[in-house]
Amino acid sequence: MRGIWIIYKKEMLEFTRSSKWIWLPIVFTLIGIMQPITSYYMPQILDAAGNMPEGTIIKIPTPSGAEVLLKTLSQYSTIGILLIVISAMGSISNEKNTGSITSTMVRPVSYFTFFISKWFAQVTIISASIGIGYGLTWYYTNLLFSDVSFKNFIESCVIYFIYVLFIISVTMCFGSVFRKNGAIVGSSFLLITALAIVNGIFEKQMKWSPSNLMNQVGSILMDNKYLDTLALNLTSSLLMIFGIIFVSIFTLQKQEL
Amino acid sequence: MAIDWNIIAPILVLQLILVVSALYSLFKQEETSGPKWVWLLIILLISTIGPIIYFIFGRKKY
Repeated sequence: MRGIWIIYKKEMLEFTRSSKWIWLPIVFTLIGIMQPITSYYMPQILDAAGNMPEGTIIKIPTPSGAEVLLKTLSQYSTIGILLIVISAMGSISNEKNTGSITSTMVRPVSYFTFFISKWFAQVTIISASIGIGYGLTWYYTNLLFSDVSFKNFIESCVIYFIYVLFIISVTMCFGSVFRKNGAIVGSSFLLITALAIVNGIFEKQMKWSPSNLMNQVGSILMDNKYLDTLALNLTSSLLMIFGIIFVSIFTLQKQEL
Repeated sequence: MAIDWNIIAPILVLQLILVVSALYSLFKQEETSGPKWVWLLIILLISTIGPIIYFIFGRKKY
């Protein structure tokens, strides 16, 4: 336990040094609050940007607060995934490339301790960033559009968080397989996007997949109810996360460092 | 409907923080990957994305 805490603290220090604690929350907040604000000012933006003929009437239905929040989350699962992957890509591979993993492993530190503490560090900073960004978006949405209840907000946030855990685990797993950051970003982004696309096509067969969590979030926000596959979805996603962590530790052990 | 600056202000403030912290980090850094003045231009001229690109790729690892 003590080993985990030490590496975790070292990782946090590294985040502070590389200003990650500044830019990651700000970027997630910007992506988040852009959504309600641009939706709110859409008529003015169209007015200013498009050279419409005189007298054109554009009627845009005002979206509900839930719709705006859902749009933000779908932004988070496109640009957001890329940011998460970029944030988590170097955590293992940089240590391998600089050779500092060897000097860590000389000490009585198991690969499990090493990996888990890095994983927790990534989870902490990414979930904090998304929490701040999503929270401020919720505030703006309630200000500018119809109210979304606190319960729906928290539930959608927690379920999205499971999806984020999955993304972090996949990225760090590729991080323990490959050395090059480009390969890590490419393969994790490709895998996660492919899973989301397959999930969109074979919706009936893919009820267990972590990408399906986005549908659960949608149902909570828009219809205010759980899909009946929620329990299956959560269990399978958590099991997959544990499996991926196990595989990553195993590959890390097998590798010649 | 006039633009309400109270709503827009937070975005501008956040972007300012991003640029300032990127500049601070750039000047503190002894060596960046690639020439410093290019990073300076990127941070100042490309809004929002510029500082992020600097934070991700600009710092030398190790």
